[in-house]
Amino acid sequence: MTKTIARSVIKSALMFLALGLGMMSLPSQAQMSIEITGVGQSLYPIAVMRFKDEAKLPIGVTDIIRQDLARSGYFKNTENGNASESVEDTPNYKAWAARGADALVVGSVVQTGPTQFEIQYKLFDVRKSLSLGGLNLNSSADNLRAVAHKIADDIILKLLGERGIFSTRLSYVIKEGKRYRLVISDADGQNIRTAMSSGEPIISPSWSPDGKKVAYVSFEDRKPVIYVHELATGRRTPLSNQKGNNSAPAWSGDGKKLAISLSKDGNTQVYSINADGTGLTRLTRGQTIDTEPQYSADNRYIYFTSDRGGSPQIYRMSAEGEQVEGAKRITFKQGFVTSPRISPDGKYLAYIANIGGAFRLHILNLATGDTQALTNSSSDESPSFAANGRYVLYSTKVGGKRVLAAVSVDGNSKQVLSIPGSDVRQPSWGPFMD
Amino acid sequence: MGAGGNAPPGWSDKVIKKVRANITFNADSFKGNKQTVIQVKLAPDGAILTRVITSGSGDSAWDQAVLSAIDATQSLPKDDNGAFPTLTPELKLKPK
Repeated sequence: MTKTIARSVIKSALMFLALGLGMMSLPSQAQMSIEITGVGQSLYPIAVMRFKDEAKLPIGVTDIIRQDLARSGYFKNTENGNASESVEDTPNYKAWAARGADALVVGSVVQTGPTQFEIQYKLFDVRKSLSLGGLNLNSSADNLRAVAHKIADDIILKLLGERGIFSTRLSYVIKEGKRYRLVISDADGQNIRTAMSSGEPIISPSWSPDGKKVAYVSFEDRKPVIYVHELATGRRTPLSNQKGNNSAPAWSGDGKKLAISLSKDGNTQVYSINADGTGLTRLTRGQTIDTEPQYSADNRYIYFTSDRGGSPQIYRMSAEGEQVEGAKRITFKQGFVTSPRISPDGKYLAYIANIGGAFRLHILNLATGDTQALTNSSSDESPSFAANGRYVLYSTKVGGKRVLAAVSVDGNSKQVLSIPGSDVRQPSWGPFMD
Repeated sequence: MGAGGNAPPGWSDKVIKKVRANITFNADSFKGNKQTVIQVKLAPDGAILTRVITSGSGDSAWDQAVLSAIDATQSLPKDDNGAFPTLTPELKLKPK
């Protein structure tokens, strides 16, 4: 009896083994592979039709969507005119394919109140003959730009599988005569709202990770003091007002702390402080200048600029301070390097390097050590990553004017943002808001 | 063009030509460090029944671009002898 069971167990084990081997041999037969290198086209042709009854709106949402898609560096608009398409019908996919569009966007506007509108949009994948859904958005007349940006982001997410950044915001400083204005704008630099105005300089704005606050340095008391500014209420609280300089605030990823630079003990050093102003802790102990701290994406480290080696370079230390394991030098390729910024995924470091007197935006791949100049300009300042890590916003000079520009992290797609004024600087790109 | 992989070169060339034409992606923006490997299952007539990423590239935008291209391709071409060397080819895709 026991023998029989044992035999049958062995038998089934053998069968199982044979079956297993058989199954294993299947994939090896199936392992015929084809390597495909390269792409068919680099820009995605998309037809964004004029939203039906858009003339009822005070601004044209169709044009904002087209501009966003073009600015993303991934799309090419195949339609630029005023033709509309019904939002009800199934599109004639073959006809759209023949017109060179891989995707089709249609939309409509319905006025639902004196200043209220319902904006409907639908997206179709022409190549797959497939509806990709859409959005129905209710908006007041003064929020239509946000609606257009939301639609552009939705198109990017559905077609490319990555989050668009057109619903994020920028902060920057506009100097007009002797006034300094800290402003918040849409990601395209438009729709400018003033957060604070002062007769003294405002510098180094830095977004809290939830996008609700901006920390900055204001000279309104004739010395640099760090403030935290709540955007919804306009409420401002001094975060650090120590003797000497209070500068370069940068939030930790959880929004609970900021890294700052203080000269209260002599030479400028890096400190951390809780967002409520308590718990000031000194993190660097150098004989030279340590400044411009930035938390790493995982909050374990702080990158900072130091001239401890003779000229400014980027270093990295534990977020608890350099007494933990010292500071490690990160940049080696150029002789003068400042303004470290870490990409949201933690893989890249953007910085400004002095190349023979030209201050130029660079990017360093932290895994490989490869560096690349992203511009060939000579006065780049204040880099700042987009929330999806695909672009860097920075301040530069064009025709003698200080302007904001954005460049894709591969250096290929560059745009100067059209912002009125001849002195726009200190940009900081805000986080995703949801 | 020297097709990579171990499928018959003539057939590979046809597949490469058809699939690649449907890939829309800015190769310079590639942020991954590997190729995307996709297991494809074909119907006897070459129609693509399923496609599954068995190994991602590390760049979700590229992974999405190649899936989308395979969907748009709809079917793979036959080899010159009118047959399919396999109905379960594995496609390995890199932007450059």
